[in-house]
Amino acid sequence: MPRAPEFLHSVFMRENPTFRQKDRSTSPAVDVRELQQFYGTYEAVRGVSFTVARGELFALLGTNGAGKTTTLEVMEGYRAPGAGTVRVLGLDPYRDGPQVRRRIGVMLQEGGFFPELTVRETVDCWRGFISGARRTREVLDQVDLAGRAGVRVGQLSGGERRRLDLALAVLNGPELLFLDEPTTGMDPEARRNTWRLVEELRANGTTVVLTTHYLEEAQQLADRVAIMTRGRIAAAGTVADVLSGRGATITFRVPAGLRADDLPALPAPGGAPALTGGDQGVPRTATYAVDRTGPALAALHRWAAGRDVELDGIEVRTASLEDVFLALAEEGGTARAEQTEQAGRKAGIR
Amino acid sequence: MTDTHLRAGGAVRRRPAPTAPDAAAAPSRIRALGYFRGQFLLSWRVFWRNRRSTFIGFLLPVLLDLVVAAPLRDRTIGGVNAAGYTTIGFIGLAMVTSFVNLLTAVVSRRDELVLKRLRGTEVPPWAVFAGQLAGGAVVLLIQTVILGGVSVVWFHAPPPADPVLFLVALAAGYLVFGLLALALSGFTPGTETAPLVATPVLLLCMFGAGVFTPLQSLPGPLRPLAADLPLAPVIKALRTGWFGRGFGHETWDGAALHRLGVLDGWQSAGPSLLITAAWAAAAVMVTRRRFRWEPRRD
Repeated sequence: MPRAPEFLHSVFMRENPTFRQKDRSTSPAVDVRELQQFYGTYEAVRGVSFTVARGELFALLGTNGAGKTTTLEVMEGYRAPGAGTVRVLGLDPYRDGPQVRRRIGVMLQEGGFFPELTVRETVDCWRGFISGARRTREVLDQVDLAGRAGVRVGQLSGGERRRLDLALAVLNGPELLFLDEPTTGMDPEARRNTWRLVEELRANGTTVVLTTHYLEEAQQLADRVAIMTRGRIAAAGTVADVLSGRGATITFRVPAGLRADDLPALPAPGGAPALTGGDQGVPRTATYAVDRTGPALAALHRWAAGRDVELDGIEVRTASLEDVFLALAEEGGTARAEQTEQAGRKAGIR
Repeated sequence: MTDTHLRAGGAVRRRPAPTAPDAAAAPSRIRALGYFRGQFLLSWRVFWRNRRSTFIGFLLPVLLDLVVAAPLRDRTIGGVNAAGYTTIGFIGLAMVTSFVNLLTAVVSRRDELVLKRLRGTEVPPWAVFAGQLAGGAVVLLIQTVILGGVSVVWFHAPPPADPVLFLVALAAGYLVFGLLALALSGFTPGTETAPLVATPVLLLCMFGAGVFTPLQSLPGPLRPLAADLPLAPVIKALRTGWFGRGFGHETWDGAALHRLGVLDGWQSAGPSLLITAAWAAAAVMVTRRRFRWEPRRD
């Protein structure tokens, strides 16, 4: 069953002529090929490629320093690609800056305001800087800041500043919206409302590219995700794609009176269980990591029946984006450790 | 509770479909004027909202003039009213306080990532600069009217002899100091260090450019150096424009200077204007190389 936003999306596809018209253009919203980016000799982005189709919500995930923001800033036209090509709405975002910016919205990870101005004045000012600006009141309502319109920006909370940021990003009704960690610093309620706003925008045909630390956010909003570690894309695809093949875990309480040696070994790659709790060879819980849950559960049930014991509290959990993310980050960490070791060895030889 | 949010957000309206001529096709000159106007209003509003910029950028030269020039009401220098003579010096100094103000504003906005955000809009860089400079220019004009008025009404100085030359010198001087602020922002690491860059320039100009005492009062070897710094030629041209005499070698006890005709006035101010133009060109070159829109990344 489709989620609500997808349903809305299909409604708009059919009924919104604006969307159909935009959708007819053939170039993808974003096309990044073999992007490399350097800071001095440090290679922050090491050959990244992906495309974002029109109307899609694409999430770029990664730890701090993975290269997400750098990649985003190249797409936003803040810096020229170090190597490779980047096209946004079919144009070069760096060379065709103003032309591209007229059609996109940008919410920086951190962008300043004039603390001397009120919320309303800030939006009013910004309306002068963009073509086709929407009404101030309408935009402030949308991000739930209408009640704070007369407050000086210097007095806003962190979450309110993020919402003002968002207001400026959607002020021109962009075709393509870049959001760099949009909900950082927001309370749970503001975060939910932001998600809803993003879903509405997308339902209306806006393409969204976002980066986030909150995997829940990506899992809830994104059509497709890419996980970056150390300047590369380590995994990409729909959330289901990325999760598939990541298997599941089966956990249960070890029946009383059994020792570690009594637990069964499942066919590879499940193998031996990871044991936690208890002491002196008498574990409290057993966890198996398995590829396929069906055969694994059948084997466990056979074993339990043979021994005439219970599988109390048995839990089957499929991998979440968070598991994948942590696994990839760990791989990245291991690789980095090896690299450091190698560098150390080289230095030693010299 | 949640549902009270995003009330009007239910209908997220996108820009109307681009029928024949899109907004993007609007005459670019009108659009450019709009950007400029937006930037001007922004910097104007922020200037008067910020106490530090209002004090340094607006009040300081006016107050200093009232304190320093008023006691000279009954003296003359080079044959002109000494209080009026000094007042012109403070109009020159007002350009330097605009410089301090502009430098501080640019550096702190760069550090606060306001410039980065501005750059993320479709506003071209020249409009950002022009709007900012225009805001300061209007402040300077107001200061000039106040100081000029005080000079004529209270100090009994004569009205400007060659208003056109005076205004040209004023515009040229302001432009040089505005451009210098943009250029030096590239050498200023951050907001806290801005005063370290701005204050020496302010002091140098205040005491080494003939603001309230003629250049001839400086020790001999320093005179040619001071005369080539950006402020001294501007003040000289301003004085020539206002009093219609050939300044440059006046001293407190020296003789009255010759009156100049209009053409002679321009001829006398010519070298000053050339030095000013050279400084402006240098500032543009440095700005192109060194100006940064974002704080430096480590």
